[in-house]
Amino acid sequence: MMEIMITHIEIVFIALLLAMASAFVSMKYIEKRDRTYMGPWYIILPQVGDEKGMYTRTWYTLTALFGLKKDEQIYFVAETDHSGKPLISGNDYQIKGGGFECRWWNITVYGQDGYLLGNPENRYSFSNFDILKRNDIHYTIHLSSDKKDGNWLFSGKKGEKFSIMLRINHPTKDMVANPGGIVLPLIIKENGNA
Amino acid sequence: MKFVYFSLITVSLAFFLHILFVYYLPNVAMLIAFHHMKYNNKVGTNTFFHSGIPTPRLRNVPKPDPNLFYSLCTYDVSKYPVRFTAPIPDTSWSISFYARNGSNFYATNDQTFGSKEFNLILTGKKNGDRFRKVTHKIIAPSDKGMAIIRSSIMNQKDPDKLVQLHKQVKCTPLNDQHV
Repeated sequence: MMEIMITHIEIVFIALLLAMASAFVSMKYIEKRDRTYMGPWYIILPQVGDEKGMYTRTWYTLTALFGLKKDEQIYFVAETDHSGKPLISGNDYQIKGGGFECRWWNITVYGQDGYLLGNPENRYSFSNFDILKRNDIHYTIHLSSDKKDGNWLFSGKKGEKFSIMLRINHPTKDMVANPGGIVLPLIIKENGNA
Repeated sequence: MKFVYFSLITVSLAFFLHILFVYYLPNVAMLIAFHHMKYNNKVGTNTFFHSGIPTPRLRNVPKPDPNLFYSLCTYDVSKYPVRFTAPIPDTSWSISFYARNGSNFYATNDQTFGSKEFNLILTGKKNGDRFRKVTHKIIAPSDKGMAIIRSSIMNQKDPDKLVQLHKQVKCTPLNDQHV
């Protein structure tokens, strides 16, 4: 009797482990399948509202809870620089780019936990409304732990990873249909050994 | 033979649990959001909570946009439909409805709604036949979910005025007196 009970407990335990492991692996597979890389930036395709099937919906809810539909917002995330190395605070980076054909756009820096990084300037992002531009078109954003002149965003405590999100709000129909055609900013490491 | 039998049972059970996990994980994420609203923000259902402009300390929405003012409401249409009203400010404004499984089943914004006063009745599947003559009525796929209003504070000369306007949003359960 005791032996049968132990066997059943073992079955349930092994089944639970298998179920959790396979769920994790399938989420990782969906992540790899649905991320489209454009340089250091990636976009998650399909976007909110397009997700079909249980696995895609689950992965999307877990990674982009309360996301907006793609006709309202297209967003790109960068976790590496243009050389493919992870973005790590302590290094200095530059984001160089131009504007987008949309109602408004912004670039925001997030810490490892996905939340805003506290800094004395209380600045977490730049948008087309407040960014300093050259020739009214091109801009450079400095990402570093220490304050810099111009468009500066705090990148967190030294040694910690961070990510950047570019939001294009109310994009054109062409952009929605073909987000791969959007020219995205460069992310270049300036200096640092972190 | 015994090994094959137990292996089959284990794999079958694992498959069943795998489907359960994957299917219900979004519901768990939403339950955490409901719990956060109720116990951290101390707001019950069908009441808007003005989360405000995100800061490193305000953590109601993951990866928040620091240029948006957020208001959130956990709706419950299990007993009565709920009316959502909101003045639409002269800025980028949107409202999105999320079902219990996290899917964004309805969204509109200041450019698509067609009026400066947002007015919409959200009903459950059970009471979906009510308010047939109402122009803006949607049937929620689940009785409980989340509504989020976002207003852009960018390019605003008077952000406080926008915040005051934003705080006029309401979600009101329509009990039998309203029908």
